[in-house]
Amino acid sequence: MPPLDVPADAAAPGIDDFRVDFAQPAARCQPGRSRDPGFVPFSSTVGNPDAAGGPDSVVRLVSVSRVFGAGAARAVALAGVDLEIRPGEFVAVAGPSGSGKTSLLNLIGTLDEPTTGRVEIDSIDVGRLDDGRRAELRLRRMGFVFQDHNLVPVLTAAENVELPLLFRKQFSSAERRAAVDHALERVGLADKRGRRPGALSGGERQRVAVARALAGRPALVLADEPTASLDHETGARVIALMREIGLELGATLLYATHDPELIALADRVIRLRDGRLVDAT
Amino acid sequence: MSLFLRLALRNVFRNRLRTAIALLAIAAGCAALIVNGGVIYNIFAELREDAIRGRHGHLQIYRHGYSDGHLGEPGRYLIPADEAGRIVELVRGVAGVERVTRRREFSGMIASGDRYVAFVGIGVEPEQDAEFSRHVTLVAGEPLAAADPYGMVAGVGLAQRFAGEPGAVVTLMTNTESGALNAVDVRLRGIFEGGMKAYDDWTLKLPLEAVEQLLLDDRTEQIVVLLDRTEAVDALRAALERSFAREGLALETRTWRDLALFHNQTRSLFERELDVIKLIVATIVILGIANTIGISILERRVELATLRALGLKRRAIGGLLLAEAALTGLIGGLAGVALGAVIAAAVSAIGIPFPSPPGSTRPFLGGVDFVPGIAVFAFFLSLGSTLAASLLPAWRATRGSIAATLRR
Repeated sequence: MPPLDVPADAAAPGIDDFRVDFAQPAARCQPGRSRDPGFVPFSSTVGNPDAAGGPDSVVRLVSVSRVFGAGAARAVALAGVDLEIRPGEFVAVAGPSGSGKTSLLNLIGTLDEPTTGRVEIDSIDVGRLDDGRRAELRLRRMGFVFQDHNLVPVLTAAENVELPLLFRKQFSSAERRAAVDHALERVGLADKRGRRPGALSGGERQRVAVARALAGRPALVLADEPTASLDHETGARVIALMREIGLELGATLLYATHDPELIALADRVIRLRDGRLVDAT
Repeated sequence: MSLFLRLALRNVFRNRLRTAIALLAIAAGCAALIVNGGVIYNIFAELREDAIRGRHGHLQIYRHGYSDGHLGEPGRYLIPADEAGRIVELVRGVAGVERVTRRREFSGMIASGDRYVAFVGIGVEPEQDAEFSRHVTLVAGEPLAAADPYGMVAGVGLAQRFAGEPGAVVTLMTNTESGALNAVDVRLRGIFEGGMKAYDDWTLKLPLEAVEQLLLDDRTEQIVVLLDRTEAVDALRAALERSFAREGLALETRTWRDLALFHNQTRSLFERELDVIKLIVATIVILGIANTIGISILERRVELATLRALGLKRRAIGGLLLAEAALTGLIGGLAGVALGAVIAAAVSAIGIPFPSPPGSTRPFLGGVDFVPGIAVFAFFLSLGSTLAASLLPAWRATRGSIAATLRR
């Protein structure tokens, strides 16, 4: 395998560069560099790491607030959040229901836009990207695990894992198949690759969702209460699996939870209360 | 099959009952268009054959200038007997020509007892005319016979006007070209129904031999040609005109389409009606399935938001939904074409009893023609309508906040 950060003037990477290999750390978007030839460098901050929080920051939030509604219906989900996440961190986002955990992950995942403030991913000010470029950023740099797995019910486990890879377009079908097999094997579901979500248990579905999130070797994985619909033991196994694979990939993982035992599994805990960051050590 | 197409296809059949209803609506619309068009084209075919086999033949040949000038100077545009014979032989030798006959039209009065009735006469060659009268029904008596040069047949309306019955002897009176009054006694051999009221009310047919004696003129007015295939008329016309030019014959030709005004007007009217039906079918299909597609997409809004969250762009989501609509339209359209073909065959086997159309004198047993052009159009209309019906729901599905949708 070649180094992850290939100079821009290097020869186009071979197909092996895109193969899922959980033994290799995940790629990070560096200014003017990408190991993924289809990846478009984003934003004017590229090339000026200091202006965007420095090269050691995967995620940076600057005075971010998110307000829903107006007038009497106005609800502050996040208020003045400043936050920095470094590469490879395994972070729990903790707080009671309504504290702003989901809003925070949605903003980091570019699924939502802040009312005020700035969100930077890999030194990129995502507020300056249009919808298509944000989608491209998610497709190539991020993985998502949702509370209810959110698998496509008409697709098999393998097809669900393959779907995001299909839209990255650089992969041949054989390479996608290899990546899918590897990912499913890694989450222990190689023998259930042909089953649809309806024929899997809750824990198995969530493991398929983990495989889907990680198959493309994302730099950043966001999991919004991924264990909420699972029993405690299964949930703990899913978190442990995410941690294990994330460590192998060198990916940065953020998961939201209010379960103290799952919070304890994290390297770092970000605590929210009433939309305010109360602890980010 | 690519994963994208597999996903689209599986989504189409995700809710089988709903998909079945949508497919039924599309197929029914498509089949309705095919059947409606098939009935109309069957009527067109009936009218066309009436015009060709009952009155005009496929082609008529006249002396050059006839069409513009014969009403003012009828005698100037007649073809001498020897030249007419030459033309008939020439035309008979052309491949694709089934039959050729000479005709002479004239008008005058029928004197029958104390009744005097105006008529339009056609002098024909009895041995040839039968083939040009296949769509003419003899309702009483016998047809024309070469052996009976003074035996005529009259339209049913004309016969009623002079109270003629088969076997009756009447006197035909007319003016010769020089203006002299001439008359000949003829026997009414039969009464026919030609399908058009105006034709039946005024027309009689008489062997050319008697007409030539009545008019004191053996020249021919029209040479009428019947072809093996109606579709070959334009090619045959061009070939004949080239032959005439080579032979130095100053002639002009007109096809049945130029002459069959009733057919043309009816066709024009019905084609407009068919256009309206197409519009109605498209509207019904769009309205019928827009709601179904809209509900289907609404139910999947979280799934679609998830796909967007995973990085699929709006156009990819829109493409997926349009691909699903295209598959639905494709399947529904093909089912509609098959259904239309089955209905057309079944109805044609039984027959549709039609009343007399406007201007016609007889009802007829119609069918449903399976017209490939209409079937192709109906298929693409179904496909296009289904795509059109899905445009707005698909556009809506790609809008809005991903986070807000996932929160629900």
